[in-house]
Amino acid sequence: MAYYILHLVTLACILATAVIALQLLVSGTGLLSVAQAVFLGIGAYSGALTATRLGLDGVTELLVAAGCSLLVSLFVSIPSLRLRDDYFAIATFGLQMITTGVLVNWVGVTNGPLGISGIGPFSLLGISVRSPFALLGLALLVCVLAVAIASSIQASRYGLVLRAIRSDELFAQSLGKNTLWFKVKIVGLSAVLASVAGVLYAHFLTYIDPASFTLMDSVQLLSMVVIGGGRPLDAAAGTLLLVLLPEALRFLGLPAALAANLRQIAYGILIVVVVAFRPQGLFSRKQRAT
Amino acid sequence: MWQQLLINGLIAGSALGLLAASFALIYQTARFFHFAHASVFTLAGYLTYLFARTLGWPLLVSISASVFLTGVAGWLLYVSIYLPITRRDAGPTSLLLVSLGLMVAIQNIISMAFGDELKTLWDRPVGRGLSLGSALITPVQLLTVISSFVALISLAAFLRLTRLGLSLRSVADNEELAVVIGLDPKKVTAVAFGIGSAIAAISAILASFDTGLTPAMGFNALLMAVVAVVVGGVGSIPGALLGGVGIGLIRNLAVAVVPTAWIDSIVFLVLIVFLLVRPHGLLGESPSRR
Repeated sequence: MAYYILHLVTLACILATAVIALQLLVSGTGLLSVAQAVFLGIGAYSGALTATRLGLDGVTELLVAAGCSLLVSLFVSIPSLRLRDDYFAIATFGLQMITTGVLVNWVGVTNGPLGISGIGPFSLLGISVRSPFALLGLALLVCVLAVAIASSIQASRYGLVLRAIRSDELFAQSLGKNTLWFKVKIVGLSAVLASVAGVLYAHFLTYIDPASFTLMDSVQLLSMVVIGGGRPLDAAAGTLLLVLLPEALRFLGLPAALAANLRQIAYGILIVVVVAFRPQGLFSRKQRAT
Repeated sequence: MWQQLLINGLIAGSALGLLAASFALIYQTARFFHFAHASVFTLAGYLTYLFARTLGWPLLVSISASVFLTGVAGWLLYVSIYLPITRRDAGPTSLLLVSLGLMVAIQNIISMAFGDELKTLWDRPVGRGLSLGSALITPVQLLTVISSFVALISLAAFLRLTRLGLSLRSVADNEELAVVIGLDPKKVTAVAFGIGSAIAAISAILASFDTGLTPAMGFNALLMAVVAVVVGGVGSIPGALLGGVGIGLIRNLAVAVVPTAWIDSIVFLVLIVFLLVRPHGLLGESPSRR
């Protein structure tokens, strides 16, 4: 039981990093992305492939993950961010579908629907992270770093410009800000941060497949931001809540298929209810999450 | 073989164009991406199944009842969920999020009620194909083309010739001016939701006859319809139709050139390319006008 809870909390810490990265876009800049699972997936696959196929260590894994996710983020951000905000949502949606297609079909590299198994422990500079407690420590450390990065961005002049873009982009432009460049940078940063979480995710589960990085997973990451709230810690709390909530359903002893449906229904309704009645999120006092 | 692929493409395209046109009709007045349109589509298929197969009503009665009730369901979604949220000063991003939540919830409710396995509306033999040059066309496919055509002509006539259609177009064109001449944009949008959902129902029933029903059918169809809408030009109904036919053709003709598994990815790549080089689509207005 203790290990079960340890497992869930570690998972929540890893996911929270990706969720905080997504929050920089959704709450910080007013951009809706339904492709955060893509960047988690790019991190996971980059890490897993670098480790299992090339036998390289954690530093290389993180560099490969960051490089790949940054490139892919440019692929969506540059075409769509010149346009109105909801085109960005559409472009991320396209990216999500393409990525799922590539992960499933590019069998030579990704091993297709079977995924990659036997991913060893994460090792950084000769120290390998083996025990579950050490892994939790690492995940927590990364999560705290993400909170620190996100908070310092929110407090900085850069974050202020992003908020200006969110409330009135035309006005921000009239003050001489190159809003496109501001947005491209934050999308890139968010992608890189999510891919770091992805690397840990792969080593944590030791097995990854395309089914963990689908559109539904992206919607779930998004719902964690919306249900949590507008500040980094709110998003982390939202993640923890949505990781633990379905596990509670498990103890009701429902058949697996029914439980999966109920979980999705709960997610869907929770999003609608929170946006309708508590647009600032469950844990935030006033700052709106969307 | 090219002739057969061309005909298959046109048939698939006309059903897709119908769904895309209904999505565009709603977008024109509501100004946000109504992703829950996917579950409205699925609902129509399962209502027809419920009436025709479970309750054993005559087919024509079942279809009419399903189209009518789906229209009512779409209208209800707007009036009971979107409209109250709009009144709380929510932007298109929040509404898009709500529509994702609704989509997930409704799809899973349908999956719980009817199960995930493939269901068919039609257990009689398909019938002999009619030959058209060297290509074959089944009666169901012929029906698809004819009904799509009739539905679209009626939609065009409604928009051009009736008073309600005219008010719908004026709200779509310029909401503020529409208010000046005494129209209530909310009422008009509610009508667009009703009509758009009924048209989606026709498309859904045709698709159910052709390929059967699964709870994910609406989701898969809407993915393609969204691409069709962007390619055709967001906010343009003829554009959506053209985009639908275009995507239908690409999907079927690409079979001759690339492995089937990659076709969806190619379609979404077309989406990104369009965002990059022609964001206002084939027939839409330039988005710089905002």
